[in-house]
Amino acid sequence: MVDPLLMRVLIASLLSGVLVGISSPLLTLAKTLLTGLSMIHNVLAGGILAVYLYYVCGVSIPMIYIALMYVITVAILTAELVERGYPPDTAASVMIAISSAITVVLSYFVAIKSSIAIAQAWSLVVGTSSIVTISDISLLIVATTVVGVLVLFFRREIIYIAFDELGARSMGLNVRLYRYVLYTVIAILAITLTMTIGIIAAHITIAAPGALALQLSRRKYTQLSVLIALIITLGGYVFAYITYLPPSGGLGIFAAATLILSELLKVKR
Amino acid sequence: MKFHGIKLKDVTVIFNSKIRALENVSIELKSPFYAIVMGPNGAGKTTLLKVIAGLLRPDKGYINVYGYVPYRDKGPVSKLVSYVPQLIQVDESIPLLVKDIVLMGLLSARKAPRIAFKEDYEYVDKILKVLEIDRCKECLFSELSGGLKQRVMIARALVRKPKLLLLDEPFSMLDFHMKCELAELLYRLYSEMGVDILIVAHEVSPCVPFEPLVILLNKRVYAVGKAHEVLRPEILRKVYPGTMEFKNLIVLGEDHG
Repeated sequence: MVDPLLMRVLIASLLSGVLVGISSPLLTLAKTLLTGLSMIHNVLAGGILAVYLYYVCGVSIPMIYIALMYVITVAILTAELVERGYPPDTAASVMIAISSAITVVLSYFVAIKSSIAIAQAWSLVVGTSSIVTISDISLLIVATTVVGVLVLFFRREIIYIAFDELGARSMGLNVRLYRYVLYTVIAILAITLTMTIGIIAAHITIAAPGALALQLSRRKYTQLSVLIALIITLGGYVFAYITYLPPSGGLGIFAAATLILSELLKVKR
Repeated sequence: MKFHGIKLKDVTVIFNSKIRALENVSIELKSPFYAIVMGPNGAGKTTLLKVIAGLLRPDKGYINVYGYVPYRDKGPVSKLVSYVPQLIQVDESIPLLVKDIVLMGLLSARKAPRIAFKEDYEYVDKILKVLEIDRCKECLFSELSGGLKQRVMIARALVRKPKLLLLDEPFSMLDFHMKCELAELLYRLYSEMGVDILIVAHEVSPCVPFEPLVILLNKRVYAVGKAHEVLRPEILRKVYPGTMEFKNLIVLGEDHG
């Protein structure tokens, strides 16, 4: 009989592979990969805000909801800054600076009230990948479904805006709305991966599949991205499980191996 | 009664509260028209197109495009007017197929979710044939030559069945033969399909055989008329001070002249 933990690990890696695989090329094409990676850092501020509301203000809403609302708000504010002419990197940096300030200030107040509260917030970004829980799998199922629907319905427009933003505006496309959708996808991706596989593994998996797939094929890159993401997550997790490595180590090794393999394939072609 | 054409009166556009891109520009183009706006770098040619397309709101003045105020009535104007931007504004690293680019032109006129049906693909094929690029429909945009890229962008605009095509520097990066072919194609769209054409270009010579209306612009309008009326050294010198005249040749005194 298959070890239940291994089964949960396999399901989690399969779901995170699909989630990353479908969204990563979109982030690469829309030149928002750095925004995606930086968005991960806003998750901690969301966690700190949640524990602050609980310990200082007495508001008991599950941490994940507050963190999710916070990260989506930050994502939409970042999108609005881009819409108002800020380069995406600058907009993301400004929002990270604000989030960092919130983290530091609220941490101070939380630490006065409770010695374990800060650790609770940190658990949000460290992830629980070595002990994948049923709630992690539920979160992955919901996130993959929501992101899948958003990507399915709005992918065409988002790519088109990346191709010719001025033309898209002149054709009457609501560029602001699609930018909000894209950044919301980034926010959901960031918080889901951070909470389930941890901040380090999230960094590894967000960028690699889309970027590598686009290097290998200009036509079938979405399918290729899903395949690469599955190789990284499934391979990485199973490797980590067998060798008793931390999952982020396994994912990192597989991401590096995929990069080398794709470069070799490119050379052969 | 709705005005059928483009009317601008004393239109002024100021960037960052100090840089005047357009100054009291007044133009009236009654449909049908095949017109070309020429002027030196920084003359406000692209700004003029953006104002007409509703992408920019003028700081001063009145504008009417087929009975609508573009910056206010964006919905109706985006259906009537198709804007073809400069190729340098397009990100060619995005791997889009020719047919998908043209299809998006068609679908963008609809509400989301934009699902393409069989008849949409058939209509796209028809437009690609009109522009003689049907053989490239499965090609990536980045794989095409400059002339074909320009045709794809025109196909994307044309698929929306616009009343007016606004083209920003369509002749840039093309050799002279291709420029002439493109000018002829645009003339066919005007004469056979009834599409009004407004081109912004440094070079008017490819269009001259089709007797376009020439608008000489350098922040304000210096002359409007047929090519033989405007392309005269004494008029051109107002905008291009280095203009020199040789037998059957006028040199405007700048690189792209």
